[in-house]
Amino acid sequence: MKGLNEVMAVAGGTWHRVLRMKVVYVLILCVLILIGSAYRYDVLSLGQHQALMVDVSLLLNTIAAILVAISITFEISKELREGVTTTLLSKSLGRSQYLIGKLIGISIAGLVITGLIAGGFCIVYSSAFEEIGGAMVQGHLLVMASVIPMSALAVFFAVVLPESIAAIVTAIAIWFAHSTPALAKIKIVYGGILPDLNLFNLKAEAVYSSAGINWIYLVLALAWGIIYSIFATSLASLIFGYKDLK
Amino acid sequence: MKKSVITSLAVMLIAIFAGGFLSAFLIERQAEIINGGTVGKAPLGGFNKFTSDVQWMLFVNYAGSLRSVQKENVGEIYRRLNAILNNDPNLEIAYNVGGMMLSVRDPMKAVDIFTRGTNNPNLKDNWKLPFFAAHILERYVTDEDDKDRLKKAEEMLRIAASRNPSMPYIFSALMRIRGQRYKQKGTWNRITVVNDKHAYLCALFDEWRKNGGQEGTMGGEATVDLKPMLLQACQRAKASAPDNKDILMTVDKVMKKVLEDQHLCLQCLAAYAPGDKFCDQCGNQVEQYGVCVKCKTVLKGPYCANCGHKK
Repeated sequence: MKGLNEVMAVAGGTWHRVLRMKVVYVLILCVLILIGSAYRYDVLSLGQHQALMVDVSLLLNTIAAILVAISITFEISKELREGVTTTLLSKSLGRSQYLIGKLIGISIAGLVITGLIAGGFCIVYSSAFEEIGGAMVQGHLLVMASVIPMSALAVFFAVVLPESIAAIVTAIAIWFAHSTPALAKIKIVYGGILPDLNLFNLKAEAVYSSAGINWIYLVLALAWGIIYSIFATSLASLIFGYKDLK
Repeated sequence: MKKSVITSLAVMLIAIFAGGFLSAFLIERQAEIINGGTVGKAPLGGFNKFTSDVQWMLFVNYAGSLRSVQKENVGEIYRRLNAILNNDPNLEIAYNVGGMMLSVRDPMKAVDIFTRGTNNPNLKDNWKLPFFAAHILERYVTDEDDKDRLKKAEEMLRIAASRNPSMPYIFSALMRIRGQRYKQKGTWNRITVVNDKHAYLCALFDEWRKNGGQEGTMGGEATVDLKPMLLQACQRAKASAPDNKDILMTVDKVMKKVLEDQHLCLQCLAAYAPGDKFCDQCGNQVEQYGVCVKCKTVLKGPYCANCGHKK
């Protein structure tokens, strides 16, 4: 119980730091304006503006999720560099607990931000077209769920790599993990060790599917995200355990 | 080895296996959801759909800048369309607009676009794509371009008819294409196929026979009443070459098998009314029917209204 409190304390510090920034909400507002602006593309897209609005929202929400996840690489590296981590770890906090706290904190911050964008999209879309498909909401829920494994990857690279390249490598890894369905034939390794973020990519179905996406799929995709995060965080804490801290 | 290291390793191994199996399971479910069509293969970080949207708007912009579709820009149009459809194979408007743009200058490429859309399982309810493909194959593609064009057109129309059984003109087009194939072959049931109208009649009669003398099916629930179509086809075929023995032989066959219960003028095949002695279309003498055998008055019921004689 005590360990959990410590984890939650680290997590709370992380999400408070992100969600306290006013610029985050200004950016969310900008995202919603961009989503709404898709309505004006009815002529240029020959009437495809309805689908375009969904696509723009999913794109921007995914980018927001990636940026939030990447932000943790800067935070962990900064805390390591400035010795904040050493101070924290000199108390009863374990290294694994520190990383888990960071992962939970940034995941919650990511879920709040992507959730706000998804909610804003629902309002904008409903006001523009007076209806909203279930698949569109589910597509956004998948993007929200993808925050968890992306954050785990970011935590892993923040521990393993130097500050200067951790963020870049995380971005590349996230890109790679979205673009490698051809590797699906390598069972266990793909999805077990290599991340398969393409599981969260049902963006086209969010636009075209009238019946909606199976809820079981959504729940299982979330479960995969959590399981992969456990793997990535365990590996990170294993490496972190042998790391010399200032 | 520290206890925490062993714990981490154990947790990692369990997570790898659980994640690996779950991922494999989800990949299969995802394939079912996307039904083999929607996710583009290009490594665009999962943004294939958005990329196709942007490409589509650029395409609309590009198409707007063209004075007309010419041989010089056909390649560019086709390339852009392929790029769009590679990223979003479900974008119906790209098939419709793109295929139509290419249909005159490069019909083969237009057919390729329409066929691609037809074969997409996510667009299985769209009857226009196969219909347009068949139309282009029939009208714009030549035998030199593709010697199997009529066969392909027939297949496309068969798909279109099965997707929209309530459109009789799809059925008519299907019969016309089938007739053209007979004409190309030269003979039908050892009868020389003389012209398009004769070929159409042969195709309709074959369809009637295929359905056991019933209405023609369209692959779905709706059916087409073949009798009036056959009558009209007989009239047109006969009018196109009134003395041709092959046409007369075919018409005779159809009359005996399909239209024997109808009272038709043997000259022009127009239907005539009870009591008529001559055809009101061609003036030919016809076999009178529906009259009282005693006084020759037209019968209105089981008894003659003039002399009371029983029918």
